[in-house]
Amino acid sequence: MTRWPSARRLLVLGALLALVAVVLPPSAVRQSDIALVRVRTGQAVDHPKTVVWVLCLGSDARPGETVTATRADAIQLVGLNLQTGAGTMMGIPRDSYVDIAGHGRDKINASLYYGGPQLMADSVGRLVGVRPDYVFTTGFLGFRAMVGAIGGVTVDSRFAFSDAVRPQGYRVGKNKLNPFQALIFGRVRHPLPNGDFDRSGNQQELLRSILRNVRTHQSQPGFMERGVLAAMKNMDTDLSPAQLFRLAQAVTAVEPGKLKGCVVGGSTGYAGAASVVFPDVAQARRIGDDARRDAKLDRGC
Amino acid sequence: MSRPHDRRTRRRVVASVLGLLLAAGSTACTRGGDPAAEASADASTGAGGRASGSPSVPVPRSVPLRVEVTHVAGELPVADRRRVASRVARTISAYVDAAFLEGRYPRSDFTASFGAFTPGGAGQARADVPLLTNQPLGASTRAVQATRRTAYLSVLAPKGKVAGATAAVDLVFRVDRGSRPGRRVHLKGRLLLTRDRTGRWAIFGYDLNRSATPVGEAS
Repeated sequence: MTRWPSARRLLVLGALLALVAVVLPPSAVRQSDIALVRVRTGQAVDHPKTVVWVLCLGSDARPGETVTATRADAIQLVGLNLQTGAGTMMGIPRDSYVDIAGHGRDKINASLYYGGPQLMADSVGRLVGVRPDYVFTTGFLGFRAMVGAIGGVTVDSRFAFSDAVRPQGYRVGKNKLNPFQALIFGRVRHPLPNGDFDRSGNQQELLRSILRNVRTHQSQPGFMERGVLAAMKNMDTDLSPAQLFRLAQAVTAVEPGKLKGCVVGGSTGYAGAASVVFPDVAQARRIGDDARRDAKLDRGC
Repeated sequence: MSRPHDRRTRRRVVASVLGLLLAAGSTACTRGGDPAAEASADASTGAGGRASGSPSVPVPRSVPLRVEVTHVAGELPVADRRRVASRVARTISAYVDAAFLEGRYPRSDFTASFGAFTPGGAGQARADVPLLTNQPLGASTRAVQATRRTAYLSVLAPKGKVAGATAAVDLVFRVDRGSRPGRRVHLKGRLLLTRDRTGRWAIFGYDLNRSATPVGEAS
């Protein structure tokens, strides 16, 4: 325990006395200048579902192409428990070699090209055993526009790597990213130790950072409305604007710290001439079974 | 090493400071009535008259609810903004009236205060009655007056069609409790609104904080 010199102790006592003399009411009739008030807070959003599963797809569509008729570059199945604030993200490597209904075996990301969001939802559902309620698809430009609408994001990177879009590079820890830098953060795989798997982890960090940003600014007048409008303009969705508004408001109930991520593992190899990932189906099913009901991972990845 | 005289002096100073702090503590706890009253108010009485104990108690008029559209995401002509403001005002008024201003005080039952909510939203709100209504003070309330009622709307209107709105609300009520010290209840935050199938605006969510202070103090 630190012992203060007596002069300093007297000085502190004097300061305390002076403070008390200033803040205390001199008589009983005077209103106090300070108050300690109990504040009740509460937040709730009515949504028809307690647990929502959203398949988030990043399409590799180039300008002029339809985002839902190309291949999916990023595949994240996100479960959100709107009551408990917990959530689970399941990253699926885009080269996962799986059965695609009506098309035999192929990379899972081809499902979007063959049959749009419905078939993509079907393929992911077969792999992990969880059927998404919604499929949101966006392209490169749409993603950048949405990140721009919320003023950029701050990601917590596990890896340091360099890229021309960010002169200072991406460092381990916090990185404040503009929309283009955010897109690259979710796309690069070569500088990452485990390529596609680590990229999938980076995409989850991007989703977490977007949620963090939205929660920080949700009380700012017009912020949620601007964000939903940007999402509508840049995403393919069959939800009505009112449904999307309600869903967006409900999603803010999820706490970024309770949003856990797993990437479905597997081994790399070849199917013919194509480089593919043979996914660990047992792991995918186990994660799906664990999180299906409450969107919470009790047993980890 | 300090001398005995110094130590005695210091002990006296410390005793004085402690005494003053204790006095401050007791002053803070007793002045202005009972800070715990809001949390512990007994909801035991049934519906009485509005200021039922003394019908002659004048009930001051509340300030009107002011609703304005301040932000629009999308497009919304001025006339439509006014229409939205007016319809949302009806919904917010219905909630505020039912939860605070109307009813016969002293009052204990506030569960029917959420007719302006979506069915699911009303269910959630019933679990938050002490936050969303005058229930904590209801049993000792004689009358309630709104002294501030504003709602600034951010509206989502893609292609000119209104899809939803957030109301930034700032509501202040003066709660008259007869011989007991009055309270100033401040409710601030957001109400989330959308239209139901009939086109009526309904509250589907909230993010609010509430404080209660003795009348005359700011919260």
